[in-house]
Amino acid sequence: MIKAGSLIIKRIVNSFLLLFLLATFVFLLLRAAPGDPVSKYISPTLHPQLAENLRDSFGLNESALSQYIDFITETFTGNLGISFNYRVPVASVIMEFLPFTIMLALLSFSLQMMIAIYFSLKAAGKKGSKRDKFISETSLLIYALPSFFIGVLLIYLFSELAGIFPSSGVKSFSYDEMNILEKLADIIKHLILPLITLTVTGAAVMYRYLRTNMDEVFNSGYVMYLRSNGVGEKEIIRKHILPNSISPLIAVAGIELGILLSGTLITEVIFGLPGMGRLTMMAILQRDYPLVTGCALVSGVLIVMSNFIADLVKYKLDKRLLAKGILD
Amino acid sequence: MKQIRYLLLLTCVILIFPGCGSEQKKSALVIGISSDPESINALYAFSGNEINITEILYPSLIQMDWDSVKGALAVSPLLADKFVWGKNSLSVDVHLKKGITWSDGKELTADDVIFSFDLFSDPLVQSRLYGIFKNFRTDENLKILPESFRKINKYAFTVFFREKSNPSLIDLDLPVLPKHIYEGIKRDNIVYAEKEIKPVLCGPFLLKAWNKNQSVVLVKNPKSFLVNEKTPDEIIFKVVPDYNSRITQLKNNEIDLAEDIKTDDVEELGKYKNIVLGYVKGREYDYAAWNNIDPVEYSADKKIKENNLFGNAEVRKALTLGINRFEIVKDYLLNYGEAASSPVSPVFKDSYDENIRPYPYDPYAAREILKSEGWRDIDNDGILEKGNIEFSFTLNIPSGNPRRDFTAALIKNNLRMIGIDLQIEPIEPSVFFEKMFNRELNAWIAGWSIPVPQYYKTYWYSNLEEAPFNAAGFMNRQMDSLLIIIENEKDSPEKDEHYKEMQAIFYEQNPVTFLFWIDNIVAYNSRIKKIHITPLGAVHHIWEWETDD
Repeated sequence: MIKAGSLIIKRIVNSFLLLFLLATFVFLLLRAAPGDPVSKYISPTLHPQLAENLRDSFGLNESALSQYIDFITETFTGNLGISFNYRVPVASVIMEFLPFTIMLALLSFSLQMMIAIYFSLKAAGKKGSKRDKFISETSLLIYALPSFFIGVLLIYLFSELAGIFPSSGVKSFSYDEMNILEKLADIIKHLILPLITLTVTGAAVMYRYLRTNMDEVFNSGYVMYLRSNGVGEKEIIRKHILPNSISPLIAVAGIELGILLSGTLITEVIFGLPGMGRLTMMAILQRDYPLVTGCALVSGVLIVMSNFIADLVKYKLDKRLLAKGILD
Repeated sequence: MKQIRYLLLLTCVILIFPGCGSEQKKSALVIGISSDPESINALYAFSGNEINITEILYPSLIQMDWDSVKGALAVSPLLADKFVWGKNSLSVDVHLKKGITWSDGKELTADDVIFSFDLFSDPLVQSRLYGIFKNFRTDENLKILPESFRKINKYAFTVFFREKSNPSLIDLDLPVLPKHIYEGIKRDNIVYAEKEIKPVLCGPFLLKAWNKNQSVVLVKNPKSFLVNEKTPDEIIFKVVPDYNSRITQLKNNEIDLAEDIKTDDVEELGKYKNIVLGYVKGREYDYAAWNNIDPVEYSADKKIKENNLFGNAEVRKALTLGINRFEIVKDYLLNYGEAASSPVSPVFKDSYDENIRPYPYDPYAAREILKSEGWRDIDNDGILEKGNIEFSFTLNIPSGNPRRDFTAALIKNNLRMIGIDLQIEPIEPSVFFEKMFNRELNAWIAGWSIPVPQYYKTYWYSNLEEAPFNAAGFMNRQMDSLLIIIENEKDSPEKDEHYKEMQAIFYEQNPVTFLFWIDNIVAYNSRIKKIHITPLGAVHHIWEWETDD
C-alpha cells in the first residue's frame, strides 16, 4: 500500500512537470511560428491604428520573457490568460466546450469497450467458426474506414435519404420548450450519428487487440487444465480468459480515451458539434496564443489523467506490475 | 440477441417519441453559417456573420439599399425620421422617429445616438469603427470631439462636421447602443464584459439565445416598427461548419439559406423544387499580383526599387494578355462570374466604363511585347532572358483554396507557353497575408471584396504608408491625383467620369492582372418571400423577409 501511495505521488509530480514543459514548449512554438494574431483586424474597412492598439492590449509588443511571466502567472491563477478572440479568460471559453467533449468521449469510450468485449466473447466462444471469421473480417473493414467517410455515409443514409436523424447540432431549436423526456430523446437523437462515427472505429481497434490477446490465453496451460477438470467453456472465458486478456487492452484504452477527450475534430466538424477539437483548430488558425496554449494544456491534463487511470486499472488487475516497476 | 433486441427497441422509442419529429419550427427561418460568431455586440462585430446579426439587433440611423436601376447605393432614414442639411453642407440636423423603445422599456433618444458616436470612436473601447470618422471633428486619438454634436431636443440633434470635409448620410451609419446600459461600464472594460452586459436592444428582432458553436436565436420584437404579422417569428443563425452538411440540410429543409454555394452544386440544387438560387454579383474579384517594387530591397530597409521582372507596365500587360482568364470563368466558375479589367465593379453602372473591355487571351501579342522589351530566349531553354536575368519567379497562393490552386496551375501553364517559368508555392493563409502586407512576396494570387460605397485610395495610392493594401507597390501620379479628387468629391457625374479615368489607367498600367469577378451563389428555401439579393448581400434587411407559413 505504501508503495502504491508513493507511486501515485511520484506520478502526480511527474505529470505536473510534464504539463509545465508542454505549456512552455507550446508557448515558445507559437511565438516562433509565423503569423500575426491581429491579422484579422487588418482590413480596408478598419483603421490601421486599431490593429496596433490591439497588439498593445494583447501584450504582443512586450518582450517574450515578459509575455512568458504573464502566461505563467495567469496559468497559476487558473485563468490561463485572456483569449484574443473571445476577450474572456481562456478557462471560461474552454469550460463552454469541455463538458460536451467529456460527455461524448466517455459515452463513446464506454460503448467501444462494451462492443469490443461483447463481440470478443461471442467470437471466442466459437473460435474458428463462421461467426468468428465474420466478426474478424468486419472489424478489419471498419478499422480501415476513415471516420469522415463513416460520418458522411451516416448523414447520407439516415439524414438525407431516410430523414430519421438530424445531420448536425446537439439539440433542436425548440429544446427549451420541451419536457424532460422530450429533451432527453432530442439529445439522444442528435448524438446517435456522431456517437456511431466516433465509436465504430475505436471499437474495431479494441476488438482486434482483445481478440488477439484472447487467442494467446486460450491456448495457455492453465486454460487447458481448467478444461480437463471439466470447467465449462463459458465460465473459462468469462472468469479466466477475459480478465487475463484485458490487461494489454487497458493501455490502448487509455490512449484512446485521451484522444477522445482532446477533441475529435473531424467528427465535430461534420456534425457541427461544439467540442474541443474545433475550438483548438480555430484558435490555431486565428493565432489566439492564450487559447491555443490553454487547449494544449487541458488536452495534456486529460491525456495524462486517462493514462494514469489506465495504469491504475492495470495495477488493480495485476498487482505484480508494481513489483516489476512497470507503472513507474 | 437479447441485447440487440433491446437496442432496436430503444431506437424505435426514440424515433417515435413525441416532439422528435420536425427539427424546424414553421415560423422560424434558419440561416446556415460556417462558424460561430465571436461577438454579437455591435461594437465588436468584425466578421460578415457578426455584422449581419448585429445589424438586426442594433439598427442604424440610416438604411442602405441598392438601386439596381442606377447601380448605386440608395440611403434612407431608419431610426431617423428625417435629416436637414445646413447651408454649407457641413452640418446636419437629425430628427429621430418618436416612440422607439429599448427592450427594457426605456425610450430611444438623441442621447443614445450621441453617446454611441462617442463610444464607437473611443480608443479605449477598441470598437470596429475606431478611427473611421474622417469627416468628424476628432482629437489626436481620433475620438470624436463633444462639440461635434448639439442636442436640439429629446429626439433631435445637430452634427457638425470637420471643415473642408465631404460628409454624407453614410457618415451616420452607426449601430445605436443604449446609453443607460453602457455609461456605467468603464470604457476599457467593455471589451471584456460582453457576458455581463445585458443585451438591451431596439431592433426588429431580439436575442433569445446564443448557444455557443450551435446557433444564435433571434425572436421577433413585436414593438418594432419594422415588423408585421408576416415577419417570421424567429430568425436562427445555425452553425454548420461542414459545407456538405449545409447542402444536405438545405435540401432537407433543416436550414433555409446558405451562401457561397460551389458552382459544382448549382445544377444539383436547381433540381430541388424547394430551393431557389440567387447571385450576389460584382463584390469580389481575384487578381494575380506582380510586385511592382523589389520585395527584397523593400523588406530590408523600406527602399523602393523597381522590380526587375514586373516593374515595367508593358511586361505586366504582356502577363495579362498571356493568361486565359476566360478559361477559368468558363471551366472553374462555370460562368458564375466574369473576366475583370479593373477593380471598378460593373455593378456601379454610372462609374463603370463599358468601353474598357478585359484584355483578350493573346499569347502571341504577349510574346511580341516581351520581345520588344528585350526579353528573348538566348540560351534556347524555353525560358526568356534579359541580360543575365531569367524570367522565372515564385507564385505564392494561400493554401487550402481550390479556386486559387486551379488558377495558379492555369497561369503556370499559360505563362510557360510564352517563355515564363514559375513555381507555385502555397503558404498557410495567416502567414501568406502577413507576408503579402509586408510586401515580401514577388508574385501572388489573392482577392478583394470591394467596399460599398466605392473606396480605392487604400489599395492604389503611391504613399505606401497611407495605402497599406497597395501590397503590389503600384505608383502612378495620375492615379494619385484622381484618388485625392475622388476622396473629396460628392457623388456626381464628374465623379463618375473620374472613376472611368481611373479604369483607363488600370487598363494601361496593369498594376496587377485583374482576373475575374466571382458571383456569391446563394441558395434559399422557396418559402422565403421578399428577399432581395443585391450587391449589398443576401442576408440584408432580413426584417423585410416574409414566409408563407
